[in-house]
Amino acid sequence: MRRLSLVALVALTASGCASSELRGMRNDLARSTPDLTIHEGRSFSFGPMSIGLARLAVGLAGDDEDVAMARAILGSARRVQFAQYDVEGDVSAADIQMPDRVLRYLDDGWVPAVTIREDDEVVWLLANDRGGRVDEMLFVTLSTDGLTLAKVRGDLTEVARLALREANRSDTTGAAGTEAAAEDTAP
Amino acid sequence: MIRLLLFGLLALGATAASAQTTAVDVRALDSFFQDEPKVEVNLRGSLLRLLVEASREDEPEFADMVSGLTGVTVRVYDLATAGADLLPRLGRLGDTLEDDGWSTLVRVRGDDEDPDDVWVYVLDNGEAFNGLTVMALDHEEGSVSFVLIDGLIDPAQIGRLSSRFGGVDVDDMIDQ
Repeated sequence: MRRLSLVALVALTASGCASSELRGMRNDLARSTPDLTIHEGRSFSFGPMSIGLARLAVGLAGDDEDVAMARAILGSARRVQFAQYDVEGDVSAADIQMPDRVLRYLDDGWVPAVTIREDDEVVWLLANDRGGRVDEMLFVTLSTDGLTLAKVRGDLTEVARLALREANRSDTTGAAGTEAAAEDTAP
Repeated sequence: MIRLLLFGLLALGATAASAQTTAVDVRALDSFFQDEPKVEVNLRGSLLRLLVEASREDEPEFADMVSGLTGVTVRVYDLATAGADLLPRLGRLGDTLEDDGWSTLVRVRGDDEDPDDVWVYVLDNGEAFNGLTVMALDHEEGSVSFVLIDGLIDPAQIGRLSSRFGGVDVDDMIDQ
């Protein structure tokens, strides 16, 4: 009960902090893809104040993998923004252009670390190198499964470490690169 | 959210690879194809350091291998969008690399049985490699991949690097 109350409190706190920045990206994409319907979704933003509460709530949650990842991100992040929207219609990756608001990140010196256009899915991962250290990342993915936007600022080392573990686990369970992953982890 | 973020970073860390070299202008590669690349990866500087730091605990060998690199750039294009003159253009690109001091490590010419073409070039300083360039046509996947790696590369790690970053097993080709 106590856990549920805390989670509800965090949700309430977060609901009032929806990211207008991410919503702007959603609107850019909606305008540039008239054949797609990007529905209303959910979003939240944890800043320096609310992130402490989020850490507390996640700390009291269970022990599954998602919670462990949430702990890792919240444990080292200074700010987390997230938004997810349902999408209706066919996504043609070749026709999707980077939203104007994301292009502005590039103008501001962010690096387009990863871009993937695969049939019905587009992924952009941008990184901000500040003072010789990557301390901010923006992740955008649009597919028939939905539009997801996430921006994290802070020490991203632990997040990257978990990502690599996840990658290796995917590799060893049949995804591409199985052999390489096995070699790399061999004693 | 978290899982999606992780998959994004996963792509950053483990899926793709390319290297930014002075020998290949990656922007010029776009002119070989009608569409933008399906995959673009640009890792250098702080991003590479983040990758090293993140892998140090679980994969110290991989971290050591990457710690000597200064740039990894990957481009993967849809083969169906390539111009009719793709092969000769790639051949000329290889010639340019050789003119610039790169050595051909592997060249696989496609035939009817196995139509895939592969070029692997290294910049050899006598004791180690200072760069690795891989170009690969994969008809089964319908893709053309470019993997460009800059920095200090242990020759023994070529196969592991090309597999890990570009999905091209150079060791296998050499064995054949």
